[in-house]
Amino acid sequence: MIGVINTGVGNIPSICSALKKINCDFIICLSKEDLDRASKFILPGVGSFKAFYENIKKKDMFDEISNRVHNGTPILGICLGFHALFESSNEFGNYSGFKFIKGKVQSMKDIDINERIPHVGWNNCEIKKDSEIFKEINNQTNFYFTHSFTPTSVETKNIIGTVTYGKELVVAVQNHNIVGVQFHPEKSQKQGLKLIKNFIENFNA
Amino acid sequence: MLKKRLLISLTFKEGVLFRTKKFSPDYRYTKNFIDLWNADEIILIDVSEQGKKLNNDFLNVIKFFIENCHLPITVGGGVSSIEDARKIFDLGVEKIIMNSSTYENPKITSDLISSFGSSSIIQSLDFEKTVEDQYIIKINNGKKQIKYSTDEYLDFILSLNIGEILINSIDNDGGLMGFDINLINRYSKKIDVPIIVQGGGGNWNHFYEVLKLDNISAACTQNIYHFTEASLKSAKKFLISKNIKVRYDN
Repeated sequence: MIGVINTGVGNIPSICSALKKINCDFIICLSKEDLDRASKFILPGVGSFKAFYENIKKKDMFDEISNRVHNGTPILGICLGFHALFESSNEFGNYSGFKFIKGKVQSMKDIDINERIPHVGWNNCEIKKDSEIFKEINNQTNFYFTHSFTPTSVETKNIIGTVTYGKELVVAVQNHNIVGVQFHPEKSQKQGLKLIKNFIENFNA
Repeated sequence: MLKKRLLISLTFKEGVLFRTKKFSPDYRYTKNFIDLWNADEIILIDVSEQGKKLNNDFLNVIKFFIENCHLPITVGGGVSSIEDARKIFDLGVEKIIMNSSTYENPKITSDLISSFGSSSIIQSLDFEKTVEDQYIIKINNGKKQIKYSTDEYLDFILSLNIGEILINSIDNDGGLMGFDINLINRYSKKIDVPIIVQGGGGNWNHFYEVLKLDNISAACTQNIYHFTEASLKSAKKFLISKNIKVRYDN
């Protein structure tokens, strides 16, 4: 059973309609008990990190998720959920993340990108390392992005995918049972659904 | 490399899909064609008389698209509070388009940006050409002229840290005679966020003419004849043959 963590900020229904499309059983996790029923987590999120963080803290879910993931439960972070996997984010303040993966989320305006921000639209992902989530997905597949913050100082060993937008941005990471993508697989049609399916069926790190 | 986007914009009135011409409903058709596999994004706009209020008919339309299209969805029309926006984002929508509300109450738009992030908010601007070949901006579906100059208002909009700007031409809306390139060139240089253009796309060459511009990220069409799998594919093939980088998966 896949647990979709309700972060209180957006895209839960899109994730759910993607999961329905690929015939996957899931529950939306609103409490500790819900988390107990799930064998894998999807951590979605749209919007600002501040709202995301405050919501997840308010619901007392932060430590609960953290403990379970440290004990090996696989987690897929998407967009803001991807940002939350890192140590901190400076979006509207300074917030600490789950610290599952080394790196700091920063505004793309602070890292000298000579491109329009936000980075929005379809961009081709360069697969840097084999990962179960990329199984049967071609290198340079286009996925849908919409973000103005990006992780920096990520260790090479954790980087599994990048895109070029002004410079090379880290858009997919993995650290054992923890995986995250900057783009929206639930909005990236067939290839995106395949990635979600891979997480559900093939991701056993 | 980031691809240029081809967007489809659908207008709804009391939950029924309309095409508009010069901002008035043109004719209606059904939403049965929804096989938009080569569209890069879908924009849903509510133009109901019920107000500028967010209504249930439209919320049901949004739900239908979320359940049936695994594509980015942007919604506009009737968003006048954080609560409205939350209702829409909670359905699984990526982005909200603001238009008149920003003029009437700029605080709403800046609050939306701090709650939902700037990449989630688009500002749509409806331009109209004056007899002196200048441009004014109108709100309320083209009914009311704003009291600021176009440049002043644009500066103000950019100061809100908006995510994207949609440049719409009232004159070219529904005319299928091409986008207003003068309008686009005149204002796109000062805009430093992604720009979507709308109003006038009638054939693939019109799309090429705007997408070849460095400053333009996306072009939007409302034309029913562009809403088929075959036509979207042929549009993209045409653009690729002209060396425009677009997404074309299988």
